[in-house]
Amino acid sequence: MKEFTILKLTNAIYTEMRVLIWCANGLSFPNLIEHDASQLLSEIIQLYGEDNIIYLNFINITQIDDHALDSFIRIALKTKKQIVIYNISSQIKDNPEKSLRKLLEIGNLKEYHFCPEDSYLILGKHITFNQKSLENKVQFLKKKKLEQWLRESFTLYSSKRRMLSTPIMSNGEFDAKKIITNQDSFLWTTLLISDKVEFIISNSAVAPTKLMSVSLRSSPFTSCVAQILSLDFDIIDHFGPNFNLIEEEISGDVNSKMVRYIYVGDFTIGGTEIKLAQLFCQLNKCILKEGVVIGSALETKEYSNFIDLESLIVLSKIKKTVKYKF
Amino acid sequence: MNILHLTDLHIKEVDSDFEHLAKGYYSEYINKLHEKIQLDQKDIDLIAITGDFIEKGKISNFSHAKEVILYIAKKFSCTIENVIVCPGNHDLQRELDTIEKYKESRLPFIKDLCPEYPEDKVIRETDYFKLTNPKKNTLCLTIDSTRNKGVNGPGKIDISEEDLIIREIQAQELNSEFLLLIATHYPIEHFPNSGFYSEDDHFENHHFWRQGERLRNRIIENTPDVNKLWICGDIHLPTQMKYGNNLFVTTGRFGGEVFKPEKLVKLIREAEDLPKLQKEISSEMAQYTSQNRQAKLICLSDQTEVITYRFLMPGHIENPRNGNWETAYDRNILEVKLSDHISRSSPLPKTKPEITHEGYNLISSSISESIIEKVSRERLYKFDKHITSESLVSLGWITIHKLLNNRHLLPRIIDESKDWIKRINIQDSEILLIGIDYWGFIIASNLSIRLGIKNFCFSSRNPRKYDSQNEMIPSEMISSHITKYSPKNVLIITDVIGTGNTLLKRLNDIKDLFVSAQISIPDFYAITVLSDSMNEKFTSLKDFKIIGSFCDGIRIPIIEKKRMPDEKILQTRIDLT
Repeated sequence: MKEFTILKLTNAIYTEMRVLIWCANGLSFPNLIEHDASQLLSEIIQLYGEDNIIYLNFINITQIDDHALDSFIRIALKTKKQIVIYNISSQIKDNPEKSLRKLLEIGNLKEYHFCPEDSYLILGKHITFNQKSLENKVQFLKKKKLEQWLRESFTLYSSKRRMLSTPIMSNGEFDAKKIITNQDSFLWTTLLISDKVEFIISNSAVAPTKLMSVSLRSSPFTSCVAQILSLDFDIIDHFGPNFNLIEEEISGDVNSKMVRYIYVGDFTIGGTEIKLAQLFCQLNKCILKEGVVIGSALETKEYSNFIDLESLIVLSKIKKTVKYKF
Repeated sequence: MNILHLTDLHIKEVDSDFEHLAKGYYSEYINKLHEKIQLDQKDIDLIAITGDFIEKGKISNFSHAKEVILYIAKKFSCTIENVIVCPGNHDLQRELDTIEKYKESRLPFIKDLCPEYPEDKVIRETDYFKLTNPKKNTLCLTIDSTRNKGVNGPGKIDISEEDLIIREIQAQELNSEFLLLIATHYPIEHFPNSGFYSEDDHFENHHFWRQGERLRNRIIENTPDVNKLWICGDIHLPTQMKYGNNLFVTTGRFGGEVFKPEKLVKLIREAEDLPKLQKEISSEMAQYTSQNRQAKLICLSDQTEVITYRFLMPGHIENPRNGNWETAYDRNILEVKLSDHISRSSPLPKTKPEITHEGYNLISSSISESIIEKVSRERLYKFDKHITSESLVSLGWITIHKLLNNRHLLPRIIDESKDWIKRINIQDSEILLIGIDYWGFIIASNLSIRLGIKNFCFSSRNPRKYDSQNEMIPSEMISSHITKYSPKNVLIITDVIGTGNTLLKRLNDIKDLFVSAQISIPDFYAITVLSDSMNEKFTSLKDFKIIGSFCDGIRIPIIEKKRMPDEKILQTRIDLT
């Protein structure tokens, strides 16, 4: 069983259906529940449901394949575990044939409670469910985990040296490759970035339609976020730490004109890679105004003169010993 | 002999504007297929349609379905006895489909759809099979594999019923000049690249005619010299395989409902904002446009050939009828080696992957075709001077970023890579997964989530000029992983194999890590998006047990640098050194 798909709370297990879909069925249809994802969910319930409530976040799920939830309903029927499903989308709620209510009826499940408006569902014995409180706990846990992964990715040098892809000197370096190497850190960090990107898109007057990254280490995150949010993306291969763009990246093509990008990066210190991304955009008459990174050396407002940046973590807050020389 | 195989028409709304087989359109749809097949200069001798003519027991559609069948027969100049049909699980009245009333549930199919053959062509007919002799040296056996259907799955057949079929076949005294065509709706054999090999048996329970296996084996045993063609539908997948003189073929669906514009209008009206609308449309489209419409032509002569035709629908804004048939190039017939003991109670053993070129295993022919199409359509191939090493120049260059930077090809490549790893029998837990450069890293990191294993990355550029200390081998992370887990297999993912020099260097670097750790050298595998096996003369990659390639069909010529014109005459377009 893929243990990295869950987060452990006190007396509870949290997971997201989109996580199970990603692991079991890939990202071809990230909003669709197919049989394998349901099977993975059943395994989680069997393994952890004994003494734990299972919280299942249905965020961004809009479709359920025929018979996809059969194995889940069978397990729920058999084991009578407590499972809370929330963030149920209107596409599922209002689907006459495949709403959760309908599927539970067909599956002969008796013990369940829908909240008013069907936005969450409790299987098994009724409990008091406070979605806001749960989400706060989960966000806190995700942030703590990210901080831990970042600390583990940090290498302290004996003396200051020039960093990758930037002329800035530092006495240590965070390495996103160490986050990507492990499935749990890669998966959950990607989802945190994805949520930030989605937030930017939904709050933009003119929504960006493509993602961009300019480094080796950010490209896995960018590719996954793009698949999760059904966006296209561009990887600018700039042969860092030297800044020689490959010719075709400069020439661009008609289709790239006026595309609005969101930059996705691993770490931003001085903003060199962001400036490279903006250079590419200017050469190709595209727009780049927003970005999301895992960590920034400074508070994001310090970069606001050239980009609206969202950062999951300000690095100096988790590693006070890191020093930069600009 | 040429046989046209169609299946799963799934006629739901006969007046719909969005079904290819609806009134007023089906003739155009079939005409287009006919034109395409005519271009291949093939005449059709038999037409076989393996069930699910209507959608979910809507028996009022049978009369229209028959009209469609008769049109197909007329268009392809086949007389009615040369049109073979069998029922699918959608072709019966579901409320009557019990053991007691199964005959009644199938009456509409028999009365309103089945073609009426001339009496002299029908050898034997019962409520569960029909044996006909449509032309010389040809016997057609259609079997109802849906009968006595369980709660969710294919039907049953008694041994006494099997005996009758066997006796009837034996009575025909078939020899090696005969073709015996067996048509069932549910598959009667496990197609290796299908859901039958998924980890749980859900798909198999719902789609594989397990009860028909014994009959299959008995037919094979009793007709050892006879060429047999087994055709089926249901799983909406085009594939074929053979063993001995048995060819098994299944085809994707021929019809069914597609996306409706009124649904699109409703989404637009109710949309709260554009990004949300885009997501909703995309989500709707995923349900329909992922399913191509297909037909298959099986050409049986000295050389057996199976040609898949696919109706490519346009983008979701356009009416899906505005598409065209194209040849899908899915012509590979997987040959399976069996032991002498034919009878099997378990699925076929996992077969060795097909080798289409020396040392390169084609992972997915449909992805290969998609890649070639995209490179051609978007002009991603540059013919110029690209210096790839100190002594070699590549004349071809494909902008890999533009090939893979979309949400369609990349997830398919990840999915197929995962399935390929399973097919070649490597245990996930015993793999050291390494990606080279951008796209190798992207694919490896995506795969690591699917497989639940770690992944690592190397850069392959000039280590002094472009890469930092951290990118160079030896890598502490990999070394400690090797020491801790002693992986038995190394899988290297890369975007392009040109000469293979980079890949071989990486293999040797990794081998050194194993030697330093005093761990046994593992087996090496590789996956590449693009390759050109004709460049193997530059570097031998025999140290790799298998190399999987998504596309080996694009030539990337490489020549020695000294044979190129001087820089003053022809400037270098890209220099990777």
